[in-house]
Amino acid sequence: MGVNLHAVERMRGAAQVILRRDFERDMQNHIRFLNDCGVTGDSVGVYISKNPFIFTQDLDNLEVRINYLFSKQFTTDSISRILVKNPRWLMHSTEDIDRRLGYFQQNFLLKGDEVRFVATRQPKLITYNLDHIRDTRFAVIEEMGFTVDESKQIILRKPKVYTLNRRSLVERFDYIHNTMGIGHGLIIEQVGSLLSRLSRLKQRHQFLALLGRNIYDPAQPGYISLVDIVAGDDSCFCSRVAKTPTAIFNKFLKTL
Amino acid sequence: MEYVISDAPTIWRLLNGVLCVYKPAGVTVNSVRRTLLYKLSTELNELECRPPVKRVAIDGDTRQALTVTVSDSLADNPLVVGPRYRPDDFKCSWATFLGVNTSGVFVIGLNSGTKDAYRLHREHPLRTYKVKGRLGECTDNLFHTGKVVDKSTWRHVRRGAMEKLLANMQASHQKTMYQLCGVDLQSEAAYELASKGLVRPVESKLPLIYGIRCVEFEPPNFIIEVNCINEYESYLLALVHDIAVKLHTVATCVSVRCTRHSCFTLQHALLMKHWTLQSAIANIAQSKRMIRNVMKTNKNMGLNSHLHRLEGEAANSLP
Repeated sequence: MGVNLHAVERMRGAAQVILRRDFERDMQNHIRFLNDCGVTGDSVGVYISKNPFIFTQDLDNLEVRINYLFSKQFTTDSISRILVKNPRWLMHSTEDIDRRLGYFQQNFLLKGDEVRFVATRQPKLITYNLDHIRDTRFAVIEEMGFTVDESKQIILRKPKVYTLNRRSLVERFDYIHNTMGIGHGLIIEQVGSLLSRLSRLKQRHQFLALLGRNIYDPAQPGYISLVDIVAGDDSCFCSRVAKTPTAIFNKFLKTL
Repeated sequence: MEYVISDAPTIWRLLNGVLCVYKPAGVTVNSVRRTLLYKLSTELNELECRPPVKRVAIDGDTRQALTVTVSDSLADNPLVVGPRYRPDDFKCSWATFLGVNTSGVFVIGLNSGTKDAYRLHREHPLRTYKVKGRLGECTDNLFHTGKVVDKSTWRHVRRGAMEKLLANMQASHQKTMYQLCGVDLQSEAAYELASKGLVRPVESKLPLIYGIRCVEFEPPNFIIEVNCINEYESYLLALVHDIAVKLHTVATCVSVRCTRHSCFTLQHALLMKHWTLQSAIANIAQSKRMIRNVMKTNKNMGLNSHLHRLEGEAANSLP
């Protein structure tokens, strides 16, 4: 089935879970259940490699958890996406998932559809450590100075931002906002730039500044958007944005 | 003509030697090592690795003809025993340690190349640094990331004054070198010593500057180029601070960049995005040739005593 036993073995207690079980008796039904929920083909192996503890859960409980999602009007496609993207989702009890969805709905002022969209887009966010989410939200609103409404737009555009390390997130924002001089409005529009590494942003911004092409104001000619800066590999960046040979960029990198 | 090798064990055997990489600033040497080995091992695992060993099963009743079946052993499947190549499988050590804030040429020995890297280090190779400083501010850790603890005027500093001071420092360091060797600077012995090339320290504790000059002076920013042996990062940071204090001001270091390590220059250094098997193997082959040349030159020059090693190639680079 393509289960990575080497990975399973390294999880604490996981090897015992697998070894104690009889395939016919304890595993078959779970796998059949996963298949019914939309985890098919190769993704079953990946699923079990990531979460071998699924076999410790009672089938009835799993059924109830899936039914809960149906009752909250999640579609079949989005449920299968949730399970594939976040194998540990089913380990959380219905009450827990309900509490977490409620947390996001209340704190980010999301509507029902938006909660479902976020949960489907980034299922890991929902089961993430809520303390961490609270810290990051604090950083986004208090440290970076976004409004509550803007913090909601961030979660709708790039939910992954809230799973980042708070310190590195603030560092990146600090560089984009204070060094590159880009306003909050533009950052919200191109929030994907917060997912790019600081070193990458630094290298490319400094190179553009050296060439005198660091024009980040959309009203001016020769405008370069944040997305352009962070997208693509170096050769792509050089040909499309900086318009220089890659060799020159490489030489520049060796002066940093 | 380009040959394509897709066999992982063959590639693995090629990964023996000295590798020259570009270390970015703000990253520790350990994390450079970790990243490099991780990248190399994942790439090796994507190639054609060793197939699982065969399991021979002899079944059947012993009184009749037995059936022999040969199949892949499940116990040796990569999914069970883990990937064929892991970062731990590499032997890897650096020739000379670089501090966190230092960027530039970083020489690493891979597998059997660790010996070469160590030998290179024992030869006390000359390193060249470009150290960028900024006048007017002093921080608690002497680097620009620290907290500013002191400010001072710097308008009075002229390029001439700085060059004079640097020339003075260089002369005093060279004098110390001869004193450490126990020869008088005016004597015939000192001439003999100098004519054979660079006089190198015996131990690796005492930092020695062989050349220091100001390559750029746009106050408050300036760049000095330092040729030295046995230096370490905090020594270079303190050097910038000392220079500023002697010029009656204060300064912080903005960047420390190693541009040369023995025969390795920036041109040979691999950027992080080029840490791939293909470039690594090409780089190892190139450095093998270069190291052989350096060692040959050393041998031809002869060792002038058991205390002082010579390297003609590096001596030529001195201003």
